[in-house]
Amino acid sequence: MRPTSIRALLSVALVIAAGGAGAQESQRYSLQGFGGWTYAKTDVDNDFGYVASEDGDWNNYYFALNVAARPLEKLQVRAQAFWGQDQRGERTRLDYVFAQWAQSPEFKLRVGKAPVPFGIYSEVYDVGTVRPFYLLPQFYEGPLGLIPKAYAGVGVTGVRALGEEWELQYDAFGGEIRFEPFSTDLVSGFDPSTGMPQVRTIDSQLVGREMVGGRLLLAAPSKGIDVGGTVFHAGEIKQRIGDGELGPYSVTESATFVNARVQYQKGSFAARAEFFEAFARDADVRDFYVEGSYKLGPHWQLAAQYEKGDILLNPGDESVPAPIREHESFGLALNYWVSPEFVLKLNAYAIDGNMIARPTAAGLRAALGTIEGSTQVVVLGAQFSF
Amino acid sequence: MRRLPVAVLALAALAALPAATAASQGPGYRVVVHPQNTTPSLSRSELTRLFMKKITAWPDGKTVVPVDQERVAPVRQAFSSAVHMKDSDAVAAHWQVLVFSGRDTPPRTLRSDDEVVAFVRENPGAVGYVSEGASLAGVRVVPTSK
Repeated sequence: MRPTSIRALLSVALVIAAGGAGAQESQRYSLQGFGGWTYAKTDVDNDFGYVASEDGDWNNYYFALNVAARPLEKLQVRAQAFWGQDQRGERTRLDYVFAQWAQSPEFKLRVGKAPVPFGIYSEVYDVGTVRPFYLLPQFYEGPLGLIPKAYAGVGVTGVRALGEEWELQYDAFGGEIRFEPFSTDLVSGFDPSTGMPQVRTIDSQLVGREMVGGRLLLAAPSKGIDVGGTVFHAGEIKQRIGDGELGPYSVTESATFVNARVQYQKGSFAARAEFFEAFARDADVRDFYVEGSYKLGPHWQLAAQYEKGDILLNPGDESVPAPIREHESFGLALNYWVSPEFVLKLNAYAIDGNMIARPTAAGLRAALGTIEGSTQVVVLGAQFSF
Repeated sequence: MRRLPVAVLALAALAALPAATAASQGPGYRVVVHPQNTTPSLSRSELTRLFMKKITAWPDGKTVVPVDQERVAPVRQAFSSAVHMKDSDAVAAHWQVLVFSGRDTPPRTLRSDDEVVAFVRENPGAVGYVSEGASLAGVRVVPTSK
């Protein structure tokens, strides 16, 4: 999204906010937002989560404004604008903008660019006050950029009661998805004086077309339990390199993405687990994590997370060096919740493998055997919402 | 020896007193609707769905307009624990997910029992909750059940 468009949305939001103290939560519209900042450091020259490097990165921050308007009783218009800075540089984008016609709680029609209902966090990707770790589990936002935050198209969603306690939530959606941009390092030549390879970084983005998907979630809100999954299939995967035209993607022509999740939250305790797999012609990517957290009173929270992922190539294919195909991490969190809207987080990870924690020119370094296989990370940050 | 049974009885009575007092206490809130709303009673399950916007129309077709109180208000804590079976922070976190995922917006939040009563009195589809000692002029209390 162009910065001018973001500025226009911000202007509208500020006009709404200026309407009075109660304007942020009127019946007709609401204005909410979230943000965060972190300092993050690794102990070797591997980067992690777009926020951590060996030198330590201070320049990681983001802010988003979420606007909801209800021009008619059954019609809602939703938009969320995002500004941020991390190792990828300055980022501005419109996370989503869509109109939703709510015929009933059981049937709501969405048209526009809407959040992909994939897993526990894809719809609340950057909202730090709904999770114990500053960063998401890495299958959501690792360098592979595998989970698109939104689809452009049409969807339906709803919830139906199943007796007194249980309910079934569903989503069906179709259209186009744009994956997070990612960088690829290519050997462009060799230094004549040293003989060392010279690496060129290429920015590219994958676009999935002819996409259809669905989600089912069985939940008992008063018991704090939900279990379900999402599947979507993109019949056509294209790649855009730099600012060029869309072209074929060498790894696959189509792809299928699967998620299964289970979550329990009751009182001070929360536990969740998710499995993810992307199926493509030349490679599958899979990942799972388990996470538990416990609040010691109103302020302090402890959390632990274990995550393991890998890239599976076709038999005989060694095009991706082994260290780049594996990720295993154990994370600990000590958080101080000033209020439910503002949390200070101290997180630490011990990581094996370079699928996620990796240096510049990771492929080349791995092939040469000079890559650091283990990485320790410290993340100190704050996240808020309103 | 004749005094022992009396003492035992007195101790037993004292021990039973807190339970009897607790039994005589209400849930800490009352659910109120507009006087035109003829709903005879609401179960806990119906109440949580009304306030989570999963029931959006009354039997007569009027749109349900739930109103909450401030997250830190004792009456909201009592209501959240009894009806949603979560503390009000957990309910607020649930609404954060719904808001930022673009799925829904939370009920309007009002600052006092008087504001809730005034709002419900003016809106035929409204439903709110107030402290047990609140003035209820112009609204109707709906009996609730488990």
